[in-house]
Amino acid sequence: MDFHEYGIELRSSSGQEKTKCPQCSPNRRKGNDPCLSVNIDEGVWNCHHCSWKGSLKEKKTHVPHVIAPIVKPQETPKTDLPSEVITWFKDRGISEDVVISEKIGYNNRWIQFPFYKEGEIVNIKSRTADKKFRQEKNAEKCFYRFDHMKGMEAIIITEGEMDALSLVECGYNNVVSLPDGAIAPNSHASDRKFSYLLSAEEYLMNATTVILAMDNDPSGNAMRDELSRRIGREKCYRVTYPDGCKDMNDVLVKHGEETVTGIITDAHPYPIDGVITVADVTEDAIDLLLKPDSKGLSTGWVGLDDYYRISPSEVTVITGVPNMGKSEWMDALMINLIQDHGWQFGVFSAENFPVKHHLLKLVGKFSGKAFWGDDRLNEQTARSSMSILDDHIKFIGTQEKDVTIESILDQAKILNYRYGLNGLIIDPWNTVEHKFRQGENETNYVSRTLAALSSFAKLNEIHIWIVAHPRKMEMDNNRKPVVPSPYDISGSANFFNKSDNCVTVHRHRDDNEDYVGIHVQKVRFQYKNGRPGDAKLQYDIKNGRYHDYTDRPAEALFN
Amino acid sequence: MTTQTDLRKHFLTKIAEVNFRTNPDYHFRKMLYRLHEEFDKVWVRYNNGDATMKEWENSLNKWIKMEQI
Repeated sequence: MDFHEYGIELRSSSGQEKTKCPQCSPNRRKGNDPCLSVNIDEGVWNCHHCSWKGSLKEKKTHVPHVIAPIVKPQETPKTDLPSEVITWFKDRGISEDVVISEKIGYNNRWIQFPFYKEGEIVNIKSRTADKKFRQEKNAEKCFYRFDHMKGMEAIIITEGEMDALSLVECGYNNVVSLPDGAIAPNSHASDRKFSYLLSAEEYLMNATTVILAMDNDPSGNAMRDELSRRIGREKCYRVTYPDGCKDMNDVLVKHGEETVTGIITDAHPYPIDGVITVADVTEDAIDLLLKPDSKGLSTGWVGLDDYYRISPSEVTVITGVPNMGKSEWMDALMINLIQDHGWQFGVFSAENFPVKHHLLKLVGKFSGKAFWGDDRLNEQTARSSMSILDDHIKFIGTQEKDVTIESILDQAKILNYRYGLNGLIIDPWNTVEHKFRQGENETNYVSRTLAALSSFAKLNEIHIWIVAHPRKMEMDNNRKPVVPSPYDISGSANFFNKSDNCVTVHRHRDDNEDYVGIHVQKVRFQYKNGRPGDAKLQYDIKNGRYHDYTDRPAEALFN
Repeated sequence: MTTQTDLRKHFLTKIAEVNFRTNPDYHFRKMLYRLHEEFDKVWVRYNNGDATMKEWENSLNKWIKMEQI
């Protein structure tokens, strides 16, 4: 085929050319418009007016996917087993009676498990003693012991044949096992892999209880999750194996029949996403009750302990008028938590770039020595301090552009995996690039993002601090800035509503006193983290540290 | 000479070189004591065969660095 046969007239023999479209140009008012783009080398064309497109290459003839016909095994397994095979089963806790009743066969070092369906063998799965497996080619996929699930109210599904036989050994008859074992974790659970569910649909749907006794490993867990999703979690139960046991056969061998029976009896309902029963958290709550000191960690300032303590899995929003010391106090709090409790921090602090300036300020706070002026700390002290801080602080989001909450959380996730983060600081909120979804306003965005941060904090047991600016500075009658509340934070009231704790840092300075007020405006869990209130701190400008405030003695005392 | 004696000697040599300072800050001292205690624990674990020489060395260095600030 060439272009001429399609009615496409070209001047060149190679390259790209625009010409008239044989499909639409004769009927168009602008009949001479070269609306057809042709790539001569590749033999393809496209009309920008009528969208006619095509190719010189011959169309591939469609070869229908031929599904191989299902084949039934030609031979039935030979059930006269040698004594070594019987011993092999006995070593695994399976008695000769069960081996015989399940019609297990043996052929040239392969142990054969026949898959019966409606009384006929539809498949044979074979294994060697050293765990090599094979199945009949093009055989029907169905559960092992398929006929035993018929009409059962409760069905137990195991991952392998040996696990199923272990349960049969313990007196359970309503046991089936998967024909192909578990799926790899994170693999795509295609329908083909679960084709055996189709033939069992009627029985699984009619059963009121399905106990999923998969192996206690990532593949087993992935399989259990997928099966429960397909069968319906409301009727699925999970089992818990004793320590050191991977599957039901392990339990039978190591602990005996009674433990296997106990495991099946104690199978517990599959948790439904987002639903927690009282029983699920009873033990955790009792632990909390019996724990001698369930309070949050001290911030390091005694005067603040009554109002604000630090617990993992929470989000604290810090606000304050610009230049009143929000970031400074946040850094000081971080250093206190490092020194008092050995915490690990991920820090996004855009206003402190380049990092070297920030690091020097942190060294001053850490060592308690001035980092500027004539009496500044020496090199050795700085190096030793930095070496210790290196173990506790990781700066993130330093790529300068495209720093989003998602990218910060991604980096924090990696840091948490490598170093075990305890705290994450996002300072300040407005320097992060906020990507709104289509049709999303700022309030919805803040709500969604704070929810994501909160769930990240809970999932990873990290305390997240967000430093956010108020939208504008309010003045009182004396032209002094008023202490802003979290409702004044630029963007949304959700900062107050959705965070666990809210703190305002405000410097109070007049003729009589000069202190930094830590105004704790919200504490969600007051029984452990304190109650809203105000604490006073003093700022040491030399080393950047904060100390508990001590009232100045009245001048009159010295007169 | 046993490994234990070697370790003690190594420890004493390192300690002899340290210029101990007394940082008066409360939080600083709290961390100092914690690192010291951690080093003690690592030494016990090392004696029991549960910690490596590198862990012992790192732990000692951390504490010594803190002492020098």
